[in-house]
Amino acid sequence: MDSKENSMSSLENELKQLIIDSLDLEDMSIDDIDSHEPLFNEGLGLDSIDALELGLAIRKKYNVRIDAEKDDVEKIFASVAALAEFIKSERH
Amino acid sequence: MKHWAQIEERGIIWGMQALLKVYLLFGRKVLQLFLYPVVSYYWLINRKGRQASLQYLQRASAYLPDNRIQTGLYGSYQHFICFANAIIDKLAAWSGALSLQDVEFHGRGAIRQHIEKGQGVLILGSHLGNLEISRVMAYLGKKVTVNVLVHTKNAEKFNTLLNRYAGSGTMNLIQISEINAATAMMLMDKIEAGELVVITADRLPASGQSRVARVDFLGKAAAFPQGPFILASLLKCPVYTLFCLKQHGKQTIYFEHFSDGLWFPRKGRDAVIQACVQNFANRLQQYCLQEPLQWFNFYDFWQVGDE
Repeated sequence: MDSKENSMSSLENELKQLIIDSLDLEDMSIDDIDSHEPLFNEGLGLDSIDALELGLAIRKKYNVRIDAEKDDVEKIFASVAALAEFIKSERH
Repeated sequence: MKHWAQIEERGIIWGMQALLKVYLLFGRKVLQLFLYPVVSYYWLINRKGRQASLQYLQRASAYLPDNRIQTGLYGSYQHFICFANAIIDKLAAWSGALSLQDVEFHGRGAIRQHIEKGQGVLILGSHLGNLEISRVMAYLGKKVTVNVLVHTKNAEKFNTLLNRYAGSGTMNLIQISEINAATAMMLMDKIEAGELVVITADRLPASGQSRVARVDFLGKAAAFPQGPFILASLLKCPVYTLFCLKQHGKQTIYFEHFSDGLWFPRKGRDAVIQACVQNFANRLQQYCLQEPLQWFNFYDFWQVGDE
């Protein structure tokens, strides 16, 4: 694994922890969340309130903003991997 | 049935501008001469609005002592005339003619304390009474910014109108059709900056796809939006209610503590939200019965509750 992939997977783990903490998923651990599984509905089963909650937590932690006008919100929140990709691209 | 958003927006900006000119030039009495015939005509031709008014008065009267309000056609006419006077008060507030001396405050101290600590507050309003009077909330502290969330598409035009007649830019109308990630972030910024955010919590947004809670209001189930309460839980800030009623000829503003911070846990979330909305409906009812004719929801408020 090269260093780029490494930093990506550590960001993904960080995000999983953030999801667990901010959404109060107390009985889950980061190993229970697959980076590529859908976060909403059929996957983790999060709902629209969770999406808002998560959006605000991400903004607070990474200082990235999601702009509903220009960003594809559904795509960003599709999975942990997609979320990590978005945060990485916004931070550079 | 037309949604209230469609009913209300017919030429409202143009009309308001014209009325404001009349008010500024000739004052209240002359404006009444203009407005009473208009409202009377509106009352005659607007069967839906009249029926909604009759139905509302009937429900409210069950909670009021005898003869407190009239329930028949005459009562409904008085209800509309009361609305006409509220429009005039609205114009007075916009034109800056309403000053701090004209307004009586209840519960202002608590809000002030939050402002002085730089703490943002979410305020739940309604279409009971005249929310526009809250314009004078600008006097609450040195430099408080009040953001009012509105459903109307004409928010920007209203803003222009407001700012043309009243110099200070301490009141922003922000148009919001739904609460999404972007709007939540924008409001979070405002709360973190120690500003006030006012949102009405008694009407469903025009998009019609929002989450609703069916709660008891004046003895029958009515649909209230969950959005304002969910928003409050996201913003994690103190929540107050705001009612602006005209009492004994004086504008009276009531701030009342609602929650230190709403929290809807994942488990049993719907039940907690339901209880919270019912709390708000109870409080709305309590203020509504103080000034029953100042209820300005002229559509079938309980219709959705029937489903």
